[in-house]
Amino acid sequence: MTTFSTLTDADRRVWTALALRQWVAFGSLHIGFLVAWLVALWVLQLVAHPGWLIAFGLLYTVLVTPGMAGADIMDGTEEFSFALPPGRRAIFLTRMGIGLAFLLLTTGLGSLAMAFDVPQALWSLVATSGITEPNRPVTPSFLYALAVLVPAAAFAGTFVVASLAGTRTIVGVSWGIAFVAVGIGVFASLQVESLIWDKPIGWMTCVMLLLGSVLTLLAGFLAYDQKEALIGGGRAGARSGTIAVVAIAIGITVFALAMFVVSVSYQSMTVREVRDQSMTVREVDALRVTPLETVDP
Amino acid sequence: MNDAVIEAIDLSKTFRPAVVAVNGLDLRVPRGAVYGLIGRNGAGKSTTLRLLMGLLRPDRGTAHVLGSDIKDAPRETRQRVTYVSQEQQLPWRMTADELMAYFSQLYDQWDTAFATDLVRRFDLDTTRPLGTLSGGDQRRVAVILALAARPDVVILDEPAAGLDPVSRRQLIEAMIDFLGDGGERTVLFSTHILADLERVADHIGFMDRGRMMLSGPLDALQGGMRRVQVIFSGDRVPSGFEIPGELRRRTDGPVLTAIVRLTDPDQVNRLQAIEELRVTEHSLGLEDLFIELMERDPHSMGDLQSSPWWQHA
Repeated sequence: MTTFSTLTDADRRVWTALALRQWVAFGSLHIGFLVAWLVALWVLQLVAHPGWLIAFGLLYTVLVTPGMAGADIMDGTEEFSFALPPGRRAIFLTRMGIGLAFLLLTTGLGSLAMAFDVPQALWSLVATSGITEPNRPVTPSFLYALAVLVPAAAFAGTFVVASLAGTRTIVGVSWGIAFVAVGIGVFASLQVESLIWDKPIGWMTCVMLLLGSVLTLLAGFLAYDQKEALIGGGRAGARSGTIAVVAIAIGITVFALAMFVVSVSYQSMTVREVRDQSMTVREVDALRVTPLETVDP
Repeated sequence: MNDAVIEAIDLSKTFRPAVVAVNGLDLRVPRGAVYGLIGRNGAGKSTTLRLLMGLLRPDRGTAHVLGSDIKDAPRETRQRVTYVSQEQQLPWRMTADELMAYFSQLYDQWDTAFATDLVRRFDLDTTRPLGTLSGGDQRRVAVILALAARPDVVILDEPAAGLDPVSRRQLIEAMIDFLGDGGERTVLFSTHILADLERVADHIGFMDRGRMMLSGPLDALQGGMRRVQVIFSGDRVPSGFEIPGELRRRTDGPVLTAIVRLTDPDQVNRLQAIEELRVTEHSLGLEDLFIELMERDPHSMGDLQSSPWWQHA
């Protein structure tokens, strides 16, 4: 099996150049997201629920993935790129690698950090206040896996649609197509789980998302290898630019709505947890009282 | 010069809805040739070059560069071929300096000194993003990238399109420098500017309606065609009179003007020996040849394809 260490010096140089070029082209966006992620999760601890990580991953998918996967279509450089020595397979793998690695790093590490309450534990070494008071890990635990897999599946769908797009409009709305597909898949899978086990337990949905993402990327890779280069057209004109801006604006709106839904569900969950906790306390009190009541002279 | 580095056999490509761009094309470019592909707009030249580069999938036939389908060739082979498209855009956010640095990583044979020399000759600002350069300057950058990679094969689609005469001359000189570096470089390019083609090409191919109408060494093509004018003593050209090897004819009263393919050195001499006729013979420039061939009835191309001198040496 070919690995980076078994490549020739020339191959390594080419892969590095490809990766650097992709990183430079989208570096500022990635750094922006990385800073936002670090601040939100590790400093301000705003991300205290897996739902927020899903929202973060989806926002990344809306803002970065179409532009990265469909860069050649937006700029009219597909002929130029396809004629270079690395070829389209290397282009696809490089872009996918950078995007997926960034997404999995942020959502995966974020999910782990939340599951183990790491940021708050670290902050509590420095100071103890309301904001650093340790949270109880959110249940059910499959939400942590979903926080990684839902954005990954949305990324996979968006990346493949944008890569294979024949027009700039398709690139602009690629995230929407992927979101609909992932949304339907998750909803259907959770419904099936509810039917089988009375309530969603998540593992089937997680497996479905994982398999779906891998198969989508694999099919996209094979199709991209056979893709015909889009001819000419120059970079995005006024109309294409407007479409892209409108598509991204819709994406941000969807993101805002998703955040709202997450907030509401998080609040209701917190209230429910508190209520459950209060009832438990009352039950304990009742237990404590019961022996006294039974000793009736 | 015997082995072909570019070879297409029965190459065909149709775009939806039913636009036949390339139709059973056969093309063979010998190693070391400078091959000019000419034809009218829509003849299928650009599509042919894209098929050769693996940018489009053929519906039928094969297209090989350096012995393989270049799309699936390993990087070592792909880096020996460069391509400049007619409508090609460069990454507009990058500067020419950044793009040349990128190319130096992708191509093992990248020649920085040659690239720097071409930049100086073309008087390019390499520090500005490419999107802010004029179309002509972007085209020059694309040509510099294609030549300074020192490939074995360069494929250029209308490289001089949109360039002023001075820039065109610089481009031709750059190509000549590239070809004269001692390596056996092959260039395949399409153009409408026949003067440029005559200056650098040693082989040409005429394309029409997706087919190769005629191809071969430039000298043989030009030397093998004549415009022959025959003036009869009567008031009209006798019916049924035909000059041997006649490809195209025009009559005006007693004057017959024909484009004749020379298959026999005495072909015209025999006519001149007839006393009743006044026969004059003129050689054809490339432009004359092009116009005469392109205006010809496409249904009678069979005899052209079968002529003995159209094939490569």
